[in-house]
Amino acid sequence: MRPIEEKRKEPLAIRKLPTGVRGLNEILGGGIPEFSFTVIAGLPGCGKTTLAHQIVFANATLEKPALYFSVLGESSLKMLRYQQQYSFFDVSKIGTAVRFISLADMALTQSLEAVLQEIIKQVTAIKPGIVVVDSFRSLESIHAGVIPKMEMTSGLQRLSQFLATWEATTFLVGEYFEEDVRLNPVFSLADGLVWLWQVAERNSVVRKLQVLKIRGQGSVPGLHTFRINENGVQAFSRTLGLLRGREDYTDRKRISLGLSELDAMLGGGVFEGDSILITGPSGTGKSALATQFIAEGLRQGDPGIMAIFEERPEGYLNRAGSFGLTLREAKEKGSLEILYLRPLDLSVDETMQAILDAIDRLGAKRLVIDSLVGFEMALAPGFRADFRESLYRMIGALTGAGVTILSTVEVEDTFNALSFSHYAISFLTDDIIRMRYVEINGQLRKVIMVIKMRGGNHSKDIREYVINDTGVVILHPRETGYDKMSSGLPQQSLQREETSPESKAKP
Amino acid sequence: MNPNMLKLAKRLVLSETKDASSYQSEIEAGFTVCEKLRQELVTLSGVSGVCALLNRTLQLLDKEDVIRLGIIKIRLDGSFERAEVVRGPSDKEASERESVILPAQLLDLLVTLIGETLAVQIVGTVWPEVDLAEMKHDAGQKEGAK
Repeated sequence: MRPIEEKRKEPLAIRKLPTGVRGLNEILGGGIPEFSFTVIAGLPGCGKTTLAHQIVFANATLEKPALYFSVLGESSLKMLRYQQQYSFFDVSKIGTAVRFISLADMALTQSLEAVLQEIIKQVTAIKPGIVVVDSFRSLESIHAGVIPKMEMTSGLQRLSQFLATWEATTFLVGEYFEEDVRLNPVFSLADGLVWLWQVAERNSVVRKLQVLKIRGQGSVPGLHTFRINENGVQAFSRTLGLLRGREDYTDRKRISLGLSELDAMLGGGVFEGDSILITGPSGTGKSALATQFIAEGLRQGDPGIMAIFEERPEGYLNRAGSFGLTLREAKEKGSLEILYLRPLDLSVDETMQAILDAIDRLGAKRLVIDSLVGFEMALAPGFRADFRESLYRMIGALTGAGVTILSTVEVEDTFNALSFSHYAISFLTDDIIRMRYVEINGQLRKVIMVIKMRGGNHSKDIREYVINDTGVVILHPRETGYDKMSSGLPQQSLQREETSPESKAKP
Repeated sequence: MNPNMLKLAKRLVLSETKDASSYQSEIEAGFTVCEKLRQELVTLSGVSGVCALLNRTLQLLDKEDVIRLGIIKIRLDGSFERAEVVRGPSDKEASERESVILPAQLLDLLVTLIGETLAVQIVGTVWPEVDLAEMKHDAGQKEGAK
């Protein structure tokens, strides 16, 4: 037996109940503390009832059933009609592990005390593990002004104590406004407070949730995106993916982009786990290069993911086929997945979740995001303001997962400057490759250059390339015989010896 | 009317029939089924919800059937106010139909609102002794195929 002093240092282990909502346990800091008293608040239509049902079905058993008290609001029959559309709804639990009890008539005709006594009576008889009162706000509204506020607080406190003593984890669902947090005693008494928002911005709707309070455990602060689909609520933590372990970067190998000349310009390929940005105007072959990058990975036995936002998957596969690259077969075999992500009101976190899921499914080592511009366009306007920050998190999370990312971004060519991206995101890329048009001898030709390579030297050459039936092909000779190529309006120069102060990559 | 609900109503009426040879007993069994369902539905949906459900059930029945069953109205608590009906000798088929028509119609309406799987599940919680495995399976198959 250990000394008492030592024992005192050990905190009480509070079991955390799973919410049944993907992503929410992580946000809550592990789940809902057992026997706690949580308010699920928000305006009508933001998903409170669906969230409560999901928690109920995730936890209710015959031994520890869930009691769902409905007060005023949606009738239980209607609620059941709609809620059973969700995949988490288990009909076989109704009436046994999950019991719905209407308090609507009692709430309208009897005192608050009588309603609370009825809840206590049912809980005493059934001994549930989960209790939900939906909507508690409507119960408060019926009696507001009729009974003193202190009586309401005292009744609520007794209920909260009773339910915790009876080992029930309780959820009060209600249509609360933000000013209620200061004024309504329910928020002081609650152990947890989950607030749901649904915000319309221009033509789009964005749903976010926040854990404003949870006693005894650290939740992830801030607003988190959530979506309601056929599976119910799915939450996307702001820190999604950041907790994944980073690969060991002490001895990273170089990998090929699928073009030997470009690999040579990069000093032998890019480092595994790098984030590469391919930037250039429309038609310069960014997607072709991205296709070659994935195809090379597949040749090396590295599964790949292509997250595409502009072109349809079929177009990608057809182009790859025209280059003699067998992406279609890889897709059928399961070593390549093409994610065509264009739903309305997309959030970066949802995209990241879809990509992380695909990476886990395939064990992918290479990822293409084509393009960042298309990605931004697919986002709800409210998310676009945070695009850079979200992108930073996303690329950090994905490279942290050991994946080499190639992103494309379209930039306009001007003939007096060389821009890399209008996002100013070079800080989150390890390598930047610029493709651009130049005018030579009355022709619009294409050149490629390596702008940046983190952790390695690279060629300073500006090389001319073409897109032919094998894809992007860098031309010889290495020297074009032109100066001011980066301006887009080169001038013919004399053939000259190698004079660069730095050694260049051998072609 | 959904034939499965007619079949289910027959099964429930049979389970509540005290004296299978008595016509009156079969009719009363039909009302007992409705009453037991009413109590369960009041818990689930409140009295006002159940009154709405039962009033709609009566409206969906033939007026002649409502009269033959002696139903005057639905009381505020959702129970039936009934007149005494003096019945003459009736053939077996007619008595069977009259005993199940009311619960079958109520179940049919429930199916319309919440689906067959859930309706059968609720029935199963009220009559745990009645074997509904086959009906649950059929309902699940049907709704799964939708």
